[in-house]
Amino acid sequence: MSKGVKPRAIFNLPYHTASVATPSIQWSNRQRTIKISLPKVRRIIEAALPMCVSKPYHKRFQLPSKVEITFLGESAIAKIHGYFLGDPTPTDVITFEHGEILIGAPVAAANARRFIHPVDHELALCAIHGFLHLLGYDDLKDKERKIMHVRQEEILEAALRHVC
Amino acid sequence: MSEAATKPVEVPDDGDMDLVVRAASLCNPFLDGLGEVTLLVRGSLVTSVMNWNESLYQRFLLAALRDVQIHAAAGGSFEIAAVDCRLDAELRGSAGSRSRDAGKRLVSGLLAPRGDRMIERYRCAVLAGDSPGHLAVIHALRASVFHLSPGITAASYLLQEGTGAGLNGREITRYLIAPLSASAICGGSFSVEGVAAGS
Repeated sequence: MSKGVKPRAIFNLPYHTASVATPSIQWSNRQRTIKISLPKVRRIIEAALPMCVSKPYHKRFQLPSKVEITFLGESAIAKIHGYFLGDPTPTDVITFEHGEILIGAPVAAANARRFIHPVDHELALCAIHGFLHLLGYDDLKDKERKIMHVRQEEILEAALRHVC
Repeated sequence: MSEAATKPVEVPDDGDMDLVVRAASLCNPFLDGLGEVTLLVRGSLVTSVMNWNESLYQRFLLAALRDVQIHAAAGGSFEIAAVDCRLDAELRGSAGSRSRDAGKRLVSGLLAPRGDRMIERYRCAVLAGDSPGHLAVIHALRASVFHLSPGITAASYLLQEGTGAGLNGREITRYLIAPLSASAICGGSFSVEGVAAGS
């Protein structure tokens, strides 16, 4: 997930409290390299989730009823990256369509330093990125990537406004 | 053996999943009733599959599948029994017993395909308790009778493990067959579009 694309603008995205079906989320942290404030990330995601669900890429996409978000260390995420995608290098987030979002915490932390924002925000952004993948967004082509990145930045900004 | 019996099953280069499903049904007609064998999914599917791959499939099961096919082609019944015993020593605990039970259920419920004498002898040895009869061994033996390639044999075995573990067809294709045997079947042409990575 690259942050090379700047969002065009952060609109006053409405915070949806409507009754959209959101999945139950199971969190786990299987790394010790990066200190994570799990309650904080969880609050951001709880605020972001209705916004993610409210606008799937196509209406046929729905989130699974249960989503697992797991924070992994560098070697673990690299191993999974190599095993399932043929690229054994560490990455920030890998999403599996059955509802697993794996976040490489050290890579996300490095991205947070690079873009000068808190690690928790970057981790939440990775999770939002994963949710958008589950909702049909893709980032393989330039045009799709721009749409996805603008959307995830909008959602993060709105969620942060709601939480803070 | 009839001409039909010696005619090999055609294995397309593009790794057609239909062929894998057909191969699995040929090797194990009781596929639908198969319970967990050696793959157990507890919690994370990704982690379960990866741990199983590292600890059992790549280390022991894949070697057994390949060795049995090689020995079956050479008519080596004793060597096949040796592979079965080796696997019995390698698969410890409940994984071993579930694998033996699944293999025994398969041999006890079926006659040897096409009256194959080697399978019939092996079937008797398993039922008499002289050989352990692990599912991978029985599967590879039956696969050799149907002249299945090593790639299709491995993929159809994975299909059985996945079905037994309660995975659906998409999950079996994407998380088991595509990463584990893509190169053996089709040079990596299996799609893994269900997995999205950040870059």
